Amino acid sequence: MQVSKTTKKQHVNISIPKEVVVEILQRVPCKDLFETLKKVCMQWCSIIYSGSFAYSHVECGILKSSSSFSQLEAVVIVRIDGTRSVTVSALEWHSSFPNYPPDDIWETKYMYTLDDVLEFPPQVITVNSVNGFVCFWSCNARLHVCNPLTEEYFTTPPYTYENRFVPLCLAAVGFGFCQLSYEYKVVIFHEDGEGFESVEIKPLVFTVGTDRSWRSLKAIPDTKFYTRHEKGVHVKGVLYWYMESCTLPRCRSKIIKSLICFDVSKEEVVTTMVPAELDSLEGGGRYVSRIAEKGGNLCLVNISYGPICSLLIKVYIADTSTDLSSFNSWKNEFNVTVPNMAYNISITNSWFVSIVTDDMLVIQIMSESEIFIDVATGMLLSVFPLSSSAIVIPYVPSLVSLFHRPPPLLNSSFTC
Amino acid sequence: MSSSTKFLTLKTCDDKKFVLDEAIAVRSQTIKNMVEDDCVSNVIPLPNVNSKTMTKVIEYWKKHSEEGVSKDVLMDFDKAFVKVHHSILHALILAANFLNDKEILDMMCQEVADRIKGKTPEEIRKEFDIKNDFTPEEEEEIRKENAWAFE
Repeated sequence: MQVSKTTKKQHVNISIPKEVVVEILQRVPCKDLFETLKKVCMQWCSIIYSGSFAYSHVECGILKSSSSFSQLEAVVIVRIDGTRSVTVSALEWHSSFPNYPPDDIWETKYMYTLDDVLEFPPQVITVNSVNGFVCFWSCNARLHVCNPLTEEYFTTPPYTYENRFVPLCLAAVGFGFCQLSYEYKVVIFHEDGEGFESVEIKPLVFTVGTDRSWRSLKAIPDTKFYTRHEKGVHVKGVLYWYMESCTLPRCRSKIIKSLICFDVSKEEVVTTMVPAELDSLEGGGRYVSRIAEKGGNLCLVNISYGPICSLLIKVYIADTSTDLSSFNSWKNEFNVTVPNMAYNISITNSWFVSIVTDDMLVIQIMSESEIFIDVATGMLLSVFPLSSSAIVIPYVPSLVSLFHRPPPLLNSSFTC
Repeated sequence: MSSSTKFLTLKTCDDKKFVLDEAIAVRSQTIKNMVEDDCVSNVIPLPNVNSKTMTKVIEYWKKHSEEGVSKDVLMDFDKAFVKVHHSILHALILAANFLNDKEILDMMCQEVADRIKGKTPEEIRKEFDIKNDFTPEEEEEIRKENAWAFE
């Protein structure tokens, strides 16, 4: 009766234009889309599986993840005792959001087991996540990329067959997205050569789904990296690492921290410095500064001791379109004081920043635990215990497939 | 206030006429374009909108054009506005899309999205009157996932 009389017996949804259906589905979480809504009808199914929808949906999610921790999911990768295998599971940390569970009952949903990935020393390392894909490294010199929602999965061939020193030689690793070709690439800074004289960092690149073997890029000249196992931060087609290095020859040269930027499309490495004001502490004292991603922006987090045994955490956001070595490119986003944190904990270089949102900070304390800090109050909400056998990788869930390609240029909007 | 308040007459598909202050009617981008292009004669026909739906739309436009209405009042109004039967929701979406009123369209899309969450495919088809146009084989295929072939 409300719908025009002539089409009363017709199926109503036919008359809702496709672009409006897209608008509606755009507002539904990925999990619902993937598990339920694709089964509703042909039109919904074809929208949900389309690349343009998947990409615009994840872009919305990344944007929202700037302000809200609830947009982020995580996988946990656990070593199976006495074997060379690991399991990959979804960590369901929102199941009791916002009240975090006691340390021992974090719920996980098993996804799959990877066999024979571990050599000696058995180790997996968190890389980073991009567009809903999480990436991790295993000590057989392979990288693993998976979308935990769709369970699409890819493993690279090893980048070296010299297995003895693989973890030792790994300076940095990153996972990035080429915005032109919609291809995903993994990058390794592998320090080649056993002698001290011949050290040379050659970035190795592998394009997921295209390359059959690793490609070696031009060496980063005259640089020795001290940092090990640095994971990349991916922002708008550029991978960033914040690493300690010195110039060669090493004698007399000072260790400096520099920001290494890798353009995923051009495959070029540029090195710059973070302004000294951000990576320092008035009056000296121990502190640590790390880079991280916040809702599609690069940020720098400076953690130091505050008054009365508190921890002081300062978060700066970068305008990556400008010169990052300039102080004006960085803006203080917020500061958090965590009371009573510093009694029995000491800040070291093995602190990492896992998640930065407007409501939550997640910091990895060495390889022991991930701590969850409420930004508004500075309260320690929860602790997730890590061990040498478990790593956690946060990501924004998406429906993106490795096979999705950019939409044709002339047809950026949907047609019916 | 304005000495030259202009009125527009809108005619819905069931031949009902609505006389409306132009300043309010131009919340619709479609009507605004018509007014700007000077192709408004006496009556603007709205062939895709019925009178019942138009009444709702005008109710929204008037409320959101009132002066001195607090944010909370508007929020309560919006909340009540979207709590309607799905057939009216559906008609409002079509009307908002035709009138090109992004504000109403966004609100309605969000409401549908909220209603969809957590429901089974069967419940969704029933509530929104959608036909299951999959063959049993296709349904099986989708259940097995990885149907990127639909691209």
